[in-house]
Amino acid sequence: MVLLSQRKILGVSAIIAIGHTFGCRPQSPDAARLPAAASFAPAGTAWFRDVTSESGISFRHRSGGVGNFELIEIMSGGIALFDFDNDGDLDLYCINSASDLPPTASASEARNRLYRQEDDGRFVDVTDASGLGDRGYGMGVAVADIDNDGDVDVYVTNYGPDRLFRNNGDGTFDDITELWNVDVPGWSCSVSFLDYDRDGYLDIYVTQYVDYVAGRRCKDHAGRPDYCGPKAFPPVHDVLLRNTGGAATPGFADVSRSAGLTTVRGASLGVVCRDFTQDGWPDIYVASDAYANQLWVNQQNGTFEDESLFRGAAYNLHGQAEAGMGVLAADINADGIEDLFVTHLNKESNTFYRGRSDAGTFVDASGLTGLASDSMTYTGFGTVAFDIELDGDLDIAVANGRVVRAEPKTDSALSFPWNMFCEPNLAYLNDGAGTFTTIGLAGASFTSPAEISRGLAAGDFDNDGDVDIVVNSIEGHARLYRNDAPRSGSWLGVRAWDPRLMRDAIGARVTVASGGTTSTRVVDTGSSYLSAHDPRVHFGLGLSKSIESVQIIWPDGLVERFSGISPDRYVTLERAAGDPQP
Amino acid sequence: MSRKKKHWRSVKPAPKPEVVKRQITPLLIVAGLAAISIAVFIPLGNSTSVPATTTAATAIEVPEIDTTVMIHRTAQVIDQTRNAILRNPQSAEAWGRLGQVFDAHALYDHAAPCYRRAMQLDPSDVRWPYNLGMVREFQGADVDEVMALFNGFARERPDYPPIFVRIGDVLSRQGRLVEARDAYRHAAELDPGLAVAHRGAGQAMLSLNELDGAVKHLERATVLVGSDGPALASLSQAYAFSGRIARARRTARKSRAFGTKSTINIPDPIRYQVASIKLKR
Repeated sequence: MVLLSQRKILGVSAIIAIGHTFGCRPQSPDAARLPAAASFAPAGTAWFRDVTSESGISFRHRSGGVGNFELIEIMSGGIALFDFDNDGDLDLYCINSASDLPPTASASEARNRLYRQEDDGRFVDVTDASGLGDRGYGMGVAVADIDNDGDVDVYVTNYGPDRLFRNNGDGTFDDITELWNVDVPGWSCSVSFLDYDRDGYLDIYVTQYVDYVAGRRCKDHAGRPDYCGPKAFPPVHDVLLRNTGGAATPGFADVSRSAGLTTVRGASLGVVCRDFTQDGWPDIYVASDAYANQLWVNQQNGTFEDESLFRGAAYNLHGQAEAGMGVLAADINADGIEDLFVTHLNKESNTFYRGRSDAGTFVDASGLTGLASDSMTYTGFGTVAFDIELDGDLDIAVANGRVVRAEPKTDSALSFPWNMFCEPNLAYLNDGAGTFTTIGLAGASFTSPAEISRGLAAGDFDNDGDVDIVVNSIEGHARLYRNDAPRSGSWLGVRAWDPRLMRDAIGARVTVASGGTTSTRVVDTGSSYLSAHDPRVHFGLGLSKSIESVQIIWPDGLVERFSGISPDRYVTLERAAGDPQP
Repeated sequence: MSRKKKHWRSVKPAPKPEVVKRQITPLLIVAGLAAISIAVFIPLGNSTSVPATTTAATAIEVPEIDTTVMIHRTAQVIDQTRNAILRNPQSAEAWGRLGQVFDAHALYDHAAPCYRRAMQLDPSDVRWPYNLGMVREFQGADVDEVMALFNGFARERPDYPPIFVRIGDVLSRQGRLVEARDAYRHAAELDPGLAVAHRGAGQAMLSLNELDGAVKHLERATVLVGSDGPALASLSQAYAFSGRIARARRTARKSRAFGTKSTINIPDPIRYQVASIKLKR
């Protein structure tokens, strides 16, 4: 009966003794981790303060789920921080799904909500007046100025037709979905804006998850009812909408096929756009769930090729396709090269793809960064990188929540069955050399509540110089966390503005030289998971008290240097207002 | 470098590969047959479930789980295996078996304490620390704990190549790539036909930017198993990083054609014994 010859193991008793308790009750792995990590930051100092209630935000997400384990109900929850009224502070837009599932023709109580931030910092629900209260089965949101008129427009992804809303500049939006020829049915998720053809008008990349069929039933490894994985449904290709804004009749054209995107099918969730190959043309990186991630390299002729496999961004170190959910691109290790960070399912680590010196190639360096092991037990979705304590390096936050059932958490505020899927979030501090440690009890207000978190966005909503975060959670409340971390230095915020286009210069590369070091950020509004964020780029400067220069590489290739900028403030730098550089 | 981190190196000198292969191949066959017969013939006890409350002193220690929403066969196997412990609470085999049942159904929080109990009752059975190491890694346990379990196994079974692949996997996830590379290479030395060891060695070397070695091992892996999409993807990456772009593109296309699912199996009778529990469902 014993399979192998049974040798006496002299050392096993000692091994058994290492760190083991012989109690036979299952132990939550979470429980053991927090105290160990807590030593990183002093207890009693709340680095993130949940200011949701006092800010007047009362959004509650509804999935419509009633225990039938329909996959769409566990994937939603986008959120956006953006300044829709151009008054200089960030407003909040929360995506809702449905109060019933399947969505009924009758108006669902669960609709998207827009909160305008007032001068006193309180948020007021202006959904009705704004026209942004879409009642589709909402998934995600993206924000950018599609018509170059100086205000920010809104794209909403749904399970069902997506919607495009044009900002009228007076606090209201018009639904221009049909007018602008946006016809994206199916299950859309994250969206990113990019000017892939460099014509000055922002195009739209929409990830599509799967060809979903309601009513399919799946079970977990133990034979219990559970959510299906993506491979229970046919894979689909993503959608690229070209902005024909320069034409007589502005609108969007679906160029997915001609651009080459239909050659790859998967289950896309997260997306981020960057000029990874550093050839001056924006590329697209897509996190795919259980399929190879895609790195669409811009061929500079209106087409893309997926070169993810040989560029090292498709699979993890072990050559495994992971369950890619959320994604961010940033120079995490401050070597001047953009890296990628992708969140995944439990039993897979989140993956840090370090950008290599030969442009647009990556290698999985998750283990070296400390970002792997702590994430093994969680399912990550939204993720953002920002300098929490202004010490000059990028830290990382991750919104977690399972998609595979577990034992119910009895201490959760969520009721059954949702308490089988809730998890605490993660926040990591960068030691400056690209090694990360979980923040511990100091971040407990963000990392302790066990919820089913999905959308995560970052932005300095109170304009006090540090970056705050917002989270949307399935069947939970959207939460606004104010960054109260002790400051380790000064900071600078930059808005890169192109006056010719009357909009933020999406794709501009901003480099700040300060205290003998340089830091680079790229202007965008979309990454993470289903979420959109402040286009201003933010730099923690550490102990440096002065700024030598700010260099911007504009999307059209113009390089300018700006000097005479002082720290601890937000500045708007306009194209053609700096010193041109060779 | 700490001594603990190098435990796997302190194994006895490896036998010649040919000898090892002769040892391993019959072992695998026997193990596979044994696993099947275990799944089919092991008496799982009285089909009447013993209520947990009726044998309080023991039942408190046996992991409980709500089986009412599970499919009948799974619930039955769990109940029967639990009952076997209740009848004989000092049986390491019974505890280990329950650990395997939970493990096979991805109920890791329940499997771990059972394996621990089995280890306590019979420290000589190397299956329990090995399986516990696997489960603890799935649970996200501290790497030192997992490595202690795997190293203990490796000391006892230095002729068992899969353990060095497992060690390589753990170490590479920790970013200890040099040690991981050496562990994979050791597995490949023990069994030169072990494609998963070559793939692991190649992938570790790719991360270490040891591109010639990476190409060598990954080419070997793809010769051994030509249909493994992940190995081909890593090989295409190694070609690209070496500047052989055309070959990288061709290999990437081949990888894409085979898909994302690995076709390289690791011949691991101990884990197969666990997997077979579910396969027989």
